Amino acid sequence: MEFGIIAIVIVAIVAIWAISTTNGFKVSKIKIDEARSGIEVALTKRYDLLTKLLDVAKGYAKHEKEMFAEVINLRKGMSVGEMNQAVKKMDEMAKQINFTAEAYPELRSSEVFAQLQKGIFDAEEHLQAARRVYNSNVSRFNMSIVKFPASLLAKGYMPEEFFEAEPSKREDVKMSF
Amino acid sequence: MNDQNAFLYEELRRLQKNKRIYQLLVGVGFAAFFVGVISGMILLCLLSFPLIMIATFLLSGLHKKLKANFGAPLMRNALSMVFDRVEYEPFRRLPDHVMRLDEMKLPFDVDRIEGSDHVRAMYKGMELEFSDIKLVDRRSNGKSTSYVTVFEGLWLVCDFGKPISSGILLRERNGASIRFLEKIGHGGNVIETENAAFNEKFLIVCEDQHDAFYVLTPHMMEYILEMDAMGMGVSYLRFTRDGKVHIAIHTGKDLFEVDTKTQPDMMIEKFLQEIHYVTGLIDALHLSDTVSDR
Repeated sequence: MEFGIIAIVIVAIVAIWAISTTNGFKVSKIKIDEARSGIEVALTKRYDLLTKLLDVAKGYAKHEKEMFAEVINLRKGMSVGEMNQAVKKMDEMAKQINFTAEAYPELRSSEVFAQLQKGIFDAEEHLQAARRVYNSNVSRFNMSIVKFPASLLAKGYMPEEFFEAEPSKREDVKMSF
Repeated sequence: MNDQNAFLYEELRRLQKNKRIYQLLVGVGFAAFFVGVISGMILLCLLSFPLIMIATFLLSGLHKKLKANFGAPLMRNALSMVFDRVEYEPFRRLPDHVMRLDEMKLPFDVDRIEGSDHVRAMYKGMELEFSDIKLVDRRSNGKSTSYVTVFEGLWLVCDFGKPISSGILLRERNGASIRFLEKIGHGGNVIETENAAFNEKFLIVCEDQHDAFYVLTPHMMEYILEMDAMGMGVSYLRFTRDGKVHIAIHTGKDLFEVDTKTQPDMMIEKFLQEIHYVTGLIDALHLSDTVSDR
């Protein structure tokens, strides 16, 4: 009789643990999807501001033939690789705009340009935050599916991909005097 | 010596003289009481009581006069040397609607708020407000009631420049905090960043993970750790939705206090040091950079 009660309690504990662990994996996946959506929103905002800034720059550099914006397709449900590509293209756009601003002082001193630059700076901070949220959730999920004994229940789950660090942050710091 | 300093020196001498007189009267009152008791002169004992009470009352009022007539002009001078658009109220504290104590979610109960030296000013283009604050908890065990000071120190509110959708709380962890219980206590809104030293030092509570990472950039976390190292006490921070940051530091003492022993020029030096402590906290967080970038 006592042995039966002990067995029932052990089974109940294991069942509760299994349910909470499996639910934990599902909640983590949802959080990762939410975080990925946050990155998409931040990317869209950054791209919108960059295109506006590019239009302002074109207004000052009318004779520049090289100034064009590569169309970047942002859509819901992009993979991490596609988002990384979009970020790289936007970085190229930002560089192009900065080169133009260097050549046209009146562009740099324009009020609209200054406002848009501030907006882009804020958008980049939001993008940075969204990346860190995503990577934090991915890290937590990836760790949870490999730790024993939870790994026994994680057979159907694969590790998620991290979002890349910004290329400039991976380069050596350039010192100039 | 300029006219104002001459006036203050005169005022200080007058207050020092009055303090000596009132202390002497209290002494005389007690002496008369003991003589009356020993010699059996009841009349002398009865007369000594009002003398002691009046002298004690006058002595206690002296501190307020000292602050109003001597400390406040010096404090205004010192504040004007560092800040712009200074407003200073020596006997007022930060108002409740600015402090919003309930949103700070402090780890203790508060029944009474006291404070003084309320300052509003501009510093490097930022609006700021601060005062000394004392939070008192009334504890009763059924037999007796006691009042315990649970917080005493500086409370500073400053522009931060990053409006967010939900507030962020940072609270220094004590060594005994249990992470699992913290998560339960805050409904799962406890945030862990990628900076292990920061997570070890501070409990971070925020309803929106994105807001927490938006405000707590890698640089900002380093700045907060630096600020905490110079804080001289337990730190509590709150980033609010309207782009302000509250910094409350439990130092265990009041700033900007006056006494009759310190001369005016030394008192100004003391005040300046304490004001630079406040600006040091703001500069450690690089708040002017964050505000100017918006």
